Amino acid sequence: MIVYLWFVFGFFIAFSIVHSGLLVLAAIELRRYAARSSAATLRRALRSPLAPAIAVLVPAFNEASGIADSVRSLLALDYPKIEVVVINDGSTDGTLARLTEVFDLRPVRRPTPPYLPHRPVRGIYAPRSRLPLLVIDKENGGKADSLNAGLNFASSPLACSVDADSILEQDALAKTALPFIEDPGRTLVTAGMIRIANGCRIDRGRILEVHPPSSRFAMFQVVEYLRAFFGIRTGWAAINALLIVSGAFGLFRRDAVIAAGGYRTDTVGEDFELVVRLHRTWRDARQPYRIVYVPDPVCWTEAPEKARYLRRQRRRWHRGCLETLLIHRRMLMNPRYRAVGLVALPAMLLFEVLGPVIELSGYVVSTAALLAGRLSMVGFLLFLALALLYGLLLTLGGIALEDASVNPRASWMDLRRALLFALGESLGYRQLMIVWRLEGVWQLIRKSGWRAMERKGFS
Amino acid sequence: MRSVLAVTVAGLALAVVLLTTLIIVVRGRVVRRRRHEAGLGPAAEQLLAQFLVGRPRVPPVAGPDERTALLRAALEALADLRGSERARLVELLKQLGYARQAVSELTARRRAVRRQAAEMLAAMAGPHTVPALTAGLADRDVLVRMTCTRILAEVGGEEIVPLVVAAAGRDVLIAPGAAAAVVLALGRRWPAALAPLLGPGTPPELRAIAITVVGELRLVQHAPALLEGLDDSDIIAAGAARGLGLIGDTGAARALGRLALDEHRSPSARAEAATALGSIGDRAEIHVLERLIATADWPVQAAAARALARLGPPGMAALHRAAARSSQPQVRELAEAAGQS
Repeated sequence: MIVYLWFVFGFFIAFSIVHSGLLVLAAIELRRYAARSSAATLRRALRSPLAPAIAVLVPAFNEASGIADSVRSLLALDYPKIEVVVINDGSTDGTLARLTEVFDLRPVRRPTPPYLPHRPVRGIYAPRSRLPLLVIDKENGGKADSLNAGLNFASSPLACSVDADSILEQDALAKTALPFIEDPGRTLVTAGMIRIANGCRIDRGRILEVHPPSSRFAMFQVVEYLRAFFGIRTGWAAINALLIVSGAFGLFRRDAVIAAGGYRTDTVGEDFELVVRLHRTWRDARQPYRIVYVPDPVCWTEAPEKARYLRRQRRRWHRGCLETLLIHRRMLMNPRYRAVGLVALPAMLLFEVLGPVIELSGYVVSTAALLAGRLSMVGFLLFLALALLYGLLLTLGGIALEDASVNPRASWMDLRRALLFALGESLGYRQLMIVWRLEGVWQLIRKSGWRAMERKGFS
Repeated sequence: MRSVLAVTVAGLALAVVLLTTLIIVVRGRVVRRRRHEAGLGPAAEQLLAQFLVGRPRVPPVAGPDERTALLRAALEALADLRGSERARLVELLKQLGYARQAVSELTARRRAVRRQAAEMLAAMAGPHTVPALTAGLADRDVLVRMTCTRILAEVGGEEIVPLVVAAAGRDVLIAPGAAAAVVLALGRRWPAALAPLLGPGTPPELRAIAITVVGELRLVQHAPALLEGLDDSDIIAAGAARGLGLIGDTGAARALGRLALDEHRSPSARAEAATALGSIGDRAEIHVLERLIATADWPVQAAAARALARLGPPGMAALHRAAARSSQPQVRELAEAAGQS
């Protein structure tokens, strides 16, 4: 028992070292970003005739209530060359009718490009006006399938995937496109910051006032997102080893995604899998590339507030993570893939996939050791304190980095709540997440494989 | 185990306390600064607005914070102002000593200060900034160098052009986007100066940028150089084809047709050539586009179909002929879609 607890202790230390390293890298990266970014650079890029056009891909499944506002706010974004492509994924709630009514759509003929396979298209619609909007009505096939259809029909060199219920800040697209303007030959993907919109005042697809959420679950996720985006993702991006570009907001070179084969429809973690595959494809081809995290442009998204939705989300995320690691297992510890193969993927396997098992077993074994008299009460409490403090430290790192970022949204009230929830996160929330993530693994094993995924959309 | 755990926990607890203190201190500063700026910003904007609507005297600027706020507001305004209002605001900034400050900060030790100074000079760009900008070409930082180079291209005299061209060539691999902005500025002000960048002796990255800029700015005088570019690598050929289409050079139609039909070239270069044929509108090349419909590459087929549709009834007739001959269902789809558009 004690030997196992030493192993768990070693795991905590390894975790702390890797994540502290990421925090340091993130701090350096944020500093570098702050030194490069300026309003003048952004304005100049926006006015340049060399700015690449962007297709904003909006997969929509039963989004009738909010789709019109979402599309309207996307069409009004500050970017000179934009086309919005809504992919209606077999909605049954009148999403298409709502779009037709609001944007005065008419059926148009468009040949189906054979780049990426997807479920059959039932019709294509465009507004009678000159709005840069295209609506693809297709049979239900899930989010990945819809994005593939969007990639096929879009005509712009860059494609941005956005969830139908997400809200982009006015200049988010421009800021995310900047790395493509600065280094068009090597930039494959840029990712932006995701923030939780629960609690904010929203009107017609725009954030009017930012407030922290009142729901406890949503607030825990605010703390999680701060840590994940400011600390971890920025850190990985600093060594060109960013593995996750959220499906809610990511900008891709369209030809690169098509060349890599588009989104896989047989995994629930299609966004993670695509980014890993892009790393793999470009490394295999020995072509220089970069996948950039831009810590400033913000996409607001609604976080699940009810336990059953959060549970479903976490199970899906964890399953997607495991599926991707299985698909790309050859990259693990393979020097050909440099930082991705040698550091980022092993860290993902160790801390994200095996981490919940090790942590949970640590709680069980330490309790058993206490009951069996092999561990003193002081030792047991120290063990729990260790588990609590390492999580708290990481979250504080994320908060500190946000304060040092280009556009801090700091207030005393937010800090008080964030500190409170950072503490509370280690006293129950994290343990709950561990259980749900393990359920994701169990789901994967029980369903005997990841090839036969149910296709029910992604509302 | 207990002692090791105790030491680790104590270390982590100390780190937590230190980090929390740091966050409180930093957040305090951020909140104070934001509150301070919230008061100064509108006041500075009001001062500038009063100055611009005709109050002739120089607005009073008290402390360093007010100076910074006024500069920030002025730089924002300069981005949108043109003509005499812009000239007056630049003159005001000179009178208040900002130009002098930017020139002196361009040689500062800190990179961030030099970058900011370069941006300030860029906003106040005029002949008076040329000597400082020329000195900035030798800066250690690529962004400072490229900002100075771009502004020199915008405001410098003809004698400065060789320096600008050399600077863009030197940094094109490190900062391709910034080099593109320089070439764009050069093309707008000194179109003839792009000639040496379009020849085969130029680094391919810079040549590709110059070719794109020529097309975007529709610089007809460089069409012969674009025509030569059609025989170069696929990337350069694609850019040249696109440029010739944007310029609408009828003399390039046959060469574009050859490129479009060349199966050894990349689909993107061939598709650009087909698109350019549609833009140029030379009906003599309809037979080329009709042949392209039968090709196996979708981007080329689609571009050819769109190009034929742009060529009016004879083009549409050719497209329908090709569709009738073809066994590929996608060709019929292309013809139907082109017919609707």
